[in-house]
Amino acid sequence: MKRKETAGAAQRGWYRLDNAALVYSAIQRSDYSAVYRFSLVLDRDIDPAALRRAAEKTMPRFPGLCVRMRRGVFWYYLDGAPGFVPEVRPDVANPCQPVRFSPGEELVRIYYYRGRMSVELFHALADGTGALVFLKTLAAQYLRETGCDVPCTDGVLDIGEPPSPEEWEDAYPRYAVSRAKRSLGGSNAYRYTGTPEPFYTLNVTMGTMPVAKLKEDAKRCGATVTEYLAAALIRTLIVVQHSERRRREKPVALVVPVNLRPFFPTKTMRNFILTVRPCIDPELGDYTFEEIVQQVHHYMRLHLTRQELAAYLTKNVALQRSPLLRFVPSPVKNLAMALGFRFVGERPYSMTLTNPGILTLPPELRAHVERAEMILGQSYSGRSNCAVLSLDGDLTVTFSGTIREPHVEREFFRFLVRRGVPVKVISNRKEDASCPIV
Amino acid sequence: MSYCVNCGVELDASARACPLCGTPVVNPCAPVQPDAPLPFPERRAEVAPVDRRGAGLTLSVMLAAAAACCAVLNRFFFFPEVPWSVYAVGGIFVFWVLAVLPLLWRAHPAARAALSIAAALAYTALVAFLTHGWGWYVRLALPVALAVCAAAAVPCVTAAMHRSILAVTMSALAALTVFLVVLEALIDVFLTGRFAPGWSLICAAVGVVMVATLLVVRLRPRLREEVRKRFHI
Repeated sequence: MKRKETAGAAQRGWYRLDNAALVYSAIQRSDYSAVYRFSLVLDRDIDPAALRRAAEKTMPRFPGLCVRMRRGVFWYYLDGAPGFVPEVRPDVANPCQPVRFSPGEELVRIYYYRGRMSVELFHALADGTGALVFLKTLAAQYLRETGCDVPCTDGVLDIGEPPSPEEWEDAYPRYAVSRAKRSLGGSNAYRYTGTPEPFYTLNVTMGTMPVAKLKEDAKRCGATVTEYLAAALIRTLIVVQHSERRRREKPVALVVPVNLRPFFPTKTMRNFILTVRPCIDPELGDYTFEEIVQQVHHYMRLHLTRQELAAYLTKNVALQRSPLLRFVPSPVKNLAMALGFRFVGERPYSMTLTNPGILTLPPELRAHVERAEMILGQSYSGRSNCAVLSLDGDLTVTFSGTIREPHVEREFFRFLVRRGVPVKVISNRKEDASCPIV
Repeated sequence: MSYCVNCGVELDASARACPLCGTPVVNPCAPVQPDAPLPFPERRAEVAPVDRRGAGLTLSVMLAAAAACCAVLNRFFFFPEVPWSVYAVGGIFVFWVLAVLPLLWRAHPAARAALSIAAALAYTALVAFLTHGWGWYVRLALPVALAVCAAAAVPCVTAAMHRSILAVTMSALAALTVFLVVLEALIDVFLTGRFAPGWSLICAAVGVVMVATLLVVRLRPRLREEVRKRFHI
């Protein structure tokens, strides 16, 4: 029945929002950006005309991205805009600007700067997995336009093929069949603050490091790279909180999105994620880094199970299906969701850490790509969020936020350097060598 | 390639200072290349704000139509002897000023607040006019409303001047103290014709003690630092 609905959606030319998209569209405000960016840095400057041609040929293969956001009476929805091609623009200093739902606004944006080709997506359209498939297909087509032959392997879609309805199904309801319903809560977590930047400034600090060195140290601690980085981030936040000399320290908790596809098979490129919440409470005592790694490692192993994720998923979908909620007009629902997220939903988390994983590219494309990057948009509180993306031997950790002081970034990268991981840092922050912070 | 001497991270060839700690790059073997391409562009851009004037105009027309309907119904069909539609039209006007005008006119928040207060006062005046209550309106309602506005404006202005939380709290307490005295004076004058200070003096005494305590904290840096440490949120 779900498949029928999905096929029908494509034929009808509009899509219902999936479970995650409902939240992202409701909480999107001028001071919260549910927009994220993936970039590939090529070994040559981008030719905008070729990129435009590549976008024109690639977009029809992704009907779920050729859409506009519309307001329905009870829910927002994605209205099909067949023939929509985002304008290819020179890049800007302040990426991931929020979506404002004005008529004609682009929910997919394409930028170029020197060798960097960037794609920004509103999170209601697709998650990181879908966005990476789009970026890979676009980059492959771009190289074809410039005379290189790139095969359709390693996740690059064939733009000559018709799009499959399964690629744009809402996979949440299909797997929301658990008898148990669980929700991910938690007490209020530590939130670091600082001097807010003027609207709309997104400070990006990017550190590139060799995966081998990280893996080596992570293996020594008995964890994966994601667990290791999550532990390093938690440790950083604990140190920053400790430096504030609070009388009672709050728990430090991360929100880590989890790709559900390995647990619940689907081909969808739309959102299919949930989040988990590794947490350390400094009030319990001092933790060594190795102990934090072990805590995160065991938390992930204990809670990332098909059954538990299905219970979370069922709870979320049940909320969406609740007859009481369904018949509330969308402005009221969105306002309630936005206020709920701002004052309750964001409180249990100190920071976001997302790792869409290892990016695999066809060798012909890989030969021209130097680096892959990911940037997250700003949160309500302005705190930095952290995105990780690796391409073969190099891993890029990107902090993005609207707080002027780079305390968390500095402590995090310095810690990795002390652990023997060489880091190269670039940033879009305004340089101010006159007042060093030691 | 240069490294930050504080952080130990490798820096971009174009970096004049470490982006993490601001330490200047001084490397005689690899001087900063000012012409090297920057890792990120410098051009800023902003997504254009949504133009809400269309929605504002539509709502204005709808409200005007509702007001006109009320007037016609009142005049020709329902209780023509009672001017109930004037209350309805007045209410619609206040709603328009509060909710629709901001869509049509991007004014300073202070100007919007002043307009909203003026609209509310005008509506109260309308009620006073229709109920022949100019006495209570002029002698009590209007002065109390103005005093409330003035008392609320003091901490708002202090906060807008980016003063500390302590200064904002002090100004709010001082304004509240003065307001309570004025309120009792207005009530006394309205009821008995003369001001006989009573409960407001007790409130004022408490307020003055609190403001004085905060002032001492404000003026003594060490004490202020201690309080900030103890009460930080």
